[in-house]
Amino acid sequence: MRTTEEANVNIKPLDLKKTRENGTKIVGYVPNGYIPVELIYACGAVPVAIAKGGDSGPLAASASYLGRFLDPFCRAQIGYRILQEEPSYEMLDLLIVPITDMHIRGIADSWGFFSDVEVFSFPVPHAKTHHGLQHYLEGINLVKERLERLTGTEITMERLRKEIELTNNIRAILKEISLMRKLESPPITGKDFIRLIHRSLYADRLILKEALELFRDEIKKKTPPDLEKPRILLTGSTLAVGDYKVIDLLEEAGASVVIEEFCEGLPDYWQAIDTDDDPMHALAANYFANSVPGALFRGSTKERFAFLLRLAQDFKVDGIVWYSLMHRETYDIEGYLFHEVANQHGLPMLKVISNYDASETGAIRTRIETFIETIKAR
Amino acid sequence: MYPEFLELCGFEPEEIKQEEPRVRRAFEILDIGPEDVDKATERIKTYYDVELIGIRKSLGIWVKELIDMVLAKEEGKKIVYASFPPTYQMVAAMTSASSDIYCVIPEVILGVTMNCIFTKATSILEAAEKHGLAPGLAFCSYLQMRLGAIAKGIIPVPDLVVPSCLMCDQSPKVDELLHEVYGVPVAYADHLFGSGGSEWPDDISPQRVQYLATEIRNAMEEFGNLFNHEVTESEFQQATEKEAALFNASLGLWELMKANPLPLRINDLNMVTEIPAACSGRALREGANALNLLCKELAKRVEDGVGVLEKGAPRIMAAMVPYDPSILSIFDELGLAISVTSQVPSPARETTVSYNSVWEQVADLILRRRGALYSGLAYLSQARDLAKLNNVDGVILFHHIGCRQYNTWLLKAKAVIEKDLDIPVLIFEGDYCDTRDYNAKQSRTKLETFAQIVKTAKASRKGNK
Amino acid sequence: MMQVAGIDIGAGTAKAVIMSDSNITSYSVKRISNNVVKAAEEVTSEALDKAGLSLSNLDYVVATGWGRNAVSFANKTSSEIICHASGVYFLMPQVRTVIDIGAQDSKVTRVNEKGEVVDFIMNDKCAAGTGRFLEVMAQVLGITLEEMGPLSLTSENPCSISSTCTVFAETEVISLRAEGKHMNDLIAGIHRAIASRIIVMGSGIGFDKGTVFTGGVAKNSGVKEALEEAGQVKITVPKEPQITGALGAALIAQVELTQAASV
Repeated sequence: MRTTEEANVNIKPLDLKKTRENGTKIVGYVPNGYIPVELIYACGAVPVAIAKGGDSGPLAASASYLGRFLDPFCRAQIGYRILQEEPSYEMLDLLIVPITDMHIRGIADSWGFFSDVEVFSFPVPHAKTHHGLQHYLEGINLVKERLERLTGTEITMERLRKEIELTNNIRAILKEISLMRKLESPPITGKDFIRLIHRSLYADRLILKEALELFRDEIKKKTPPDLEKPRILLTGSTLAVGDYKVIDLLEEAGASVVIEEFCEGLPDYWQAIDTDDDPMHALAANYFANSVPGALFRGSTKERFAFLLRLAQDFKVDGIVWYSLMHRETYDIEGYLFHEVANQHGLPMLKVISNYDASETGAIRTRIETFIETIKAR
Repeated sequence: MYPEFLELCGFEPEEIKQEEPRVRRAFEILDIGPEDVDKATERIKTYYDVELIGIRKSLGIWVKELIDMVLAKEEGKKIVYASFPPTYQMVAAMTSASSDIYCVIPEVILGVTMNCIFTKATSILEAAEKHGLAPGLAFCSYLQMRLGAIAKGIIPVPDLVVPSCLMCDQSPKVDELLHEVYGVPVAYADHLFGSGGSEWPDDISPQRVQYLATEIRNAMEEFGNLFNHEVTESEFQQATEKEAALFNASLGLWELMKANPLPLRINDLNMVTEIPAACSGRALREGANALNLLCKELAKRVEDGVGVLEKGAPRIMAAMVPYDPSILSIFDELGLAISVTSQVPSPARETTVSYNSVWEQVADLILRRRGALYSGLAYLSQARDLAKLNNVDGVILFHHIGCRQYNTWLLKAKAVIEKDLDIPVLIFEGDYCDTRDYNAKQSRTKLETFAQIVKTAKASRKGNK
Repeated sequence: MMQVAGIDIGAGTAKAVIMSDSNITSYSVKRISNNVVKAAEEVTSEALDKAGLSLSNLDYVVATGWGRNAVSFANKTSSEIICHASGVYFLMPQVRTVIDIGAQDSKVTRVNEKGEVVDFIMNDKCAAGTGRFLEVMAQVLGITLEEMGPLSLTSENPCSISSTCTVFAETEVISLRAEGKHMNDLIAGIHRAIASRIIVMGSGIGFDKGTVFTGGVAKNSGVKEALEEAGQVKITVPKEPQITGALGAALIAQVELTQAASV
């Protein structure tokens, strides 16, 4: 039951079929925050986020390709491909996978072994050291070369700067919209914001900025009802496109998800990429050095926890829901550690684990409802 | 105290007398009582080839290391816990740095002693489950042993932890937990995953070599700063040579395992070949002797035509096996001769690149020697090549459920080996240290069926000749 | 005339087959209550009685199944995967894939043209793809296992059961029933669920023209139909699918005897 009017987040996706027919190359990528999509745009290709999740069918289909002790998002991707359930997954000329941990590696390996899409993987260092940054920069240079070979188009620094500027413009609007949720009565629900981000992933980039501006102007006009709902920070590893079970349950329970932090599936919008610096250096700095590390980084807790606590403070959050996918062990361990830290800061935390199984809904609902009730009672 | 048990573990009479206070104290800490030792004694007699002195001495290396580890803090050492799989040369360097510094991989020692010999792993696993590594999430039971033993206080809280980043995300994260909860500093020697287009073994990525080399050097520097003991390139080089000497002592063993009939059972083979992998103090000091002694004894068996299985038993390559002797003894019952495991060195891939520093040399060696540390494709190429080289009749790919990367490549490896070599492959799911869900009874049907498939396939290949 | 016996001690039932000169003389099936050793003896006696024989007439006995070590009078034991394949091949030499759904586990086995097992996959970790799943559901719905097949075949609108876990699926079925869903649709949905688990598990093995369905659950025509639909393959069920394991064991007993004689 919605108490805030549902926003019209229907930003049209790019017509991939037509785009492809025009000779444009389609490049799939795993949206774990380590692929600068600017590179893909800068050679005239179109990026497609390999980001669908939440469905048990493709997960079941992956059993012949990957062992079952990997997280369901990473396993499901080859399932979507094998079942031909996702049209965009059928149209790829190349799949780029920045390899962070073993689960993401599962995507690279399963597509490499069992699909006929060419997979280009490159390693992401797990620590934000100086030489780590150098290696990451080398990695994205390899990506640049590969893209140039694929499209026959040189990625000029000029073109790259243009794409970076466009990214910055888009990020600025998304940030502006997101920050509106700092208000006591946010004009947009968490679900709608997430859907907005997800739709943006697949939109025609040339019209996206305008579409977002229109959207922003629309919701600025809104006067949402003055309801005091428990304010929630939702965080975890992956929030896939279509995986809305947890956020739906939270909103149904009467909570308001005012801010979220995920390493995969929800691209960053907090900062602008430096346009003064050499573009490749700027991209490396933004995507590697200045981004909040995922739990799969060595020694990530300090920075991640500090960031999460800051978000919780800035957005005046009443509680935290930690949403983990089954078997993503680095997040499980961080969740265990963060529980303590959150409690020390007076923030109750609920940990939820999903294996993309429809039967979990009941149990997750009970836990979320109980959690929200206890917050309301405080 | 416990003379029969210690004798079976290769302790000399003077040693038994001398070590008594330490054995007593260590067993007290580990909650090992007389009934436990009786049971362990029977287990050793049942599962290990104790007529071989080399086996006894090898068992002794594990038991002695357990005692050293448990008493290290009381005996005034500064303590480093490395993890598994280790960057062997780094562990060797830390182990040999000084007599004041004690370096060990606790989970490997505990796996062989507390799990295989004493069957007292469960309470350690349960302790880990209460302290951050919950059940039902397929955490690696090795890491659960590591955390659980510290949580239970049966091994001391160390002064430094050095996780395994070579093909694992869990190990560095568990050590981060040790840092957050117990305040232990962590030295990461990180590794890059993903080939970036350059394939193993002929086109090893120079970037990955450089990265690993820098990380090893930095980790050794952190070690040096913390313990006030700089590990120079030359000291590291010496440690590398010590590790190589231990590793080379096992090469003779692998040669002997080619004999027909098979001269040594898988239980013994597994326990012994893990010694170079553990790279602990006792392993470095006593391992080569034990291995050489064993090789002499086995050479005699081979010469006399004596074996543990019948002549002509099907040869199996097992890329890792569970550590449970009761499961491994099923292979013997079924007449499957496991003569190749993943501890066998791959056909030497010598580098043609010359490096300026020992860090780079070691990084190159690590990337070149084990496909699993390079990429999924490398893993399965190496597995297939080893199986072909050793002319095996079947392959067992053990899947330790806590080990994430195996999920990414096992199904493809099975398909490739079956197709290229036309031999049966079993993906055998199990657990290194946790016998609660995976045990002999539960494994029997699959192993029996696999044995039958292998024998039938072998017979039909013979018939086709 | 050589008389042999194959005894299959599963988790739910014990089966015995008496053979002589590659002919089935008699067989018996018995539910196991508590005592596995007794069940083995009793089912064997029953089969022997039907054949007019006694235990001393048997020249060789092979035991298989989960409880095979409880057959004290067996000369040899053999894996049930091998035995089922052997038994099915004897009855239907065109078999290339055997689906065996037992009380507590399920297997998909690949067999070559000589009837030799060349690959297999086994689920013994999860009740959802086994006879246990059906037992739980039958209990929830207050019907017998035998009624499930015929009832499900009348369904025109099978329910969708999404839970992959038996325990949760039970809850799901209870709530669907409370919503007023028809019995036949519920059962058809249950059959679909178990069939899809089997097909997914066996997809690496492959299902083609020679797919045979054995084990106790094979008597359920509804599950057979669901498997055919899920795997897009025609499936054959032997007349007595429950005894193929014991039959295979008896065949192995014959081979053992023949080999011993030729030595």
